[in-house]
Amino acid sequence: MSKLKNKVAVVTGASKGIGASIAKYFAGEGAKVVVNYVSSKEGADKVVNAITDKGGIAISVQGDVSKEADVTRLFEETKKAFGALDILVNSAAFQGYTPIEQVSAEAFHQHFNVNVLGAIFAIQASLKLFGDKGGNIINISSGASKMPLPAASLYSATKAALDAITISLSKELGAKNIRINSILPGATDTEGARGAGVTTGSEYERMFIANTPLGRRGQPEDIAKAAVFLASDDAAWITGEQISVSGGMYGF
Amino acid sequence: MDFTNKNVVITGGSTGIGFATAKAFINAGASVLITGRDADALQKAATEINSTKLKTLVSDTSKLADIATLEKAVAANGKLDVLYLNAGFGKFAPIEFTSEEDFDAQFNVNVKGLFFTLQKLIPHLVEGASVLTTSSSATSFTMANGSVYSATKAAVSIITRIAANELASRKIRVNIVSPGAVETNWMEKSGFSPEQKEAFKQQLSSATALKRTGNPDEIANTVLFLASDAASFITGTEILADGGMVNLATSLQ
Repeated sequence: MSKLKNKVAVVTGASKGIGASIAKYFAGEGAKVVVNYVSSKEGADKVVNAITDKGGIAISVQGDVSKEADVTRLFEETKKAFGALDILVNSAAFQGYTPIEQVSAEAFHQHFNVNVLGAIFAIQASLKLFGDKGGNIINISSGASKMPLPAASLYSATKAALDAITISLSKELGAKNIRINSILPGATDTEGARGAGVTTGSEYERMFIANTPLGRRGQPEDIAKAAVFLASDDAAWITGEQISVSGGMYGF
Repeated sequence: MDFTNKNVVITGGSTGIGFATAKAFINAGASVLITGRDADALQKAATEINSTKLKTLVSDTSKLADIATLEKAVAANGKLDVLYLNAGFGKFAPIEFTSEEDFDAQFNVNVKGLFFTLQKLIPHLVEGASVLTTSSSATSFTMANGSVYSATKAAVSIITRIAANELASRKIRVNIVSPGAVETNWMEKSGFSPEQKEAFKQQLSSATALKRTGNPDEIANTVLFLASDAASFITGTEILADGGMVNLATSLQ
């Protein structure tokens, strides 16, 4: 498999969950991968080791995407290690379930600074490293952008904002052959979701599965495979799209 | 993507997107049956693809008797892994000048034919099979002179999504591929002169984010992705392969 042979990819929030799976799948397709993490060096190193054990190429770089200086450093390290950049995956995200009465300014900024501003910083830095042939940006959004969940007003709003950025930038950057798309995962079994309360056997999990025609929660690999497609030349004419990978949850 | 030992049926497979997709599936190891109305066009396609894994069948998708013929051929193959309901066409005119004949012809091929082909072939789909339909980016905007065509494709999209819901219990995934402005012979078929074609191609290119029209292979790649295990958690979804259509404030006539 070499759909991404010699491409350089930065995956933010790649120490666990969907980001980690995307990093591994990209490396499996021949890409050189920068595994970004904010706090779990151990998690990021595990991803890097899983990649290098199979003969792939990857490094881990710490950086909080909501801090511009960190993002600048992340892309400087990328340039130092691999020289250029072809693919950016904005996977870093903050997710909390809070009733509106309890939403604080702090929670608002926590969501928007990581999920929206962080993506903008990373995209700005990427544009400086993309070569003449163009570039590729994948935003990991959420089905919640189209079908917002109760007690998730902040999270859903950040993902709707991210999708608007996808569409706007597809038009702004298309002439440079920079493609940008969103993936909208459905109920996916990740550490982030578990941390937000969607644990095995929980009421949330039962509700999600009941609303998923394929009758199961998604795995990070389900999302990673769609990301490989969008990052590859197979999707050369696809830009500005929001693609649901949700077992049918958001198809109806 | 590997489709070895998979049986694929593509309606409207002798030219354009259907033909490019048939070629791609054959290259990926599948056995493919393509249908079309025109025996000569099918023969030409078969000559070009030149593979023992390709079968052709003259079948007009708008005729229930022809769909029955297709069903017999599919039954004889034993099982069906991928069904690509692609046959369709457009005839463009303002609402006030659209004839009943053109209205019926488009709905009979694009909607009735697709619906009953799906209905008759559902029993032959294996567990885990994949069904794809060709809709159009035209359902996403209000293209003047495309009222009937766009309406047929909107119908295709909702039928597809309902089919995804109905067939999910058998692990059959059903998805929509919506091409934007792809360079096939549809403009000639719709009666465009070479000058009109060139002018319209320019308009279409400038209306896409990537500033170009697409080619049938780029749609085929999306179909193969959705049909493959790489898309195992994707159902009821539409993928627009349209170069990022920005706006189409223009007329087709």
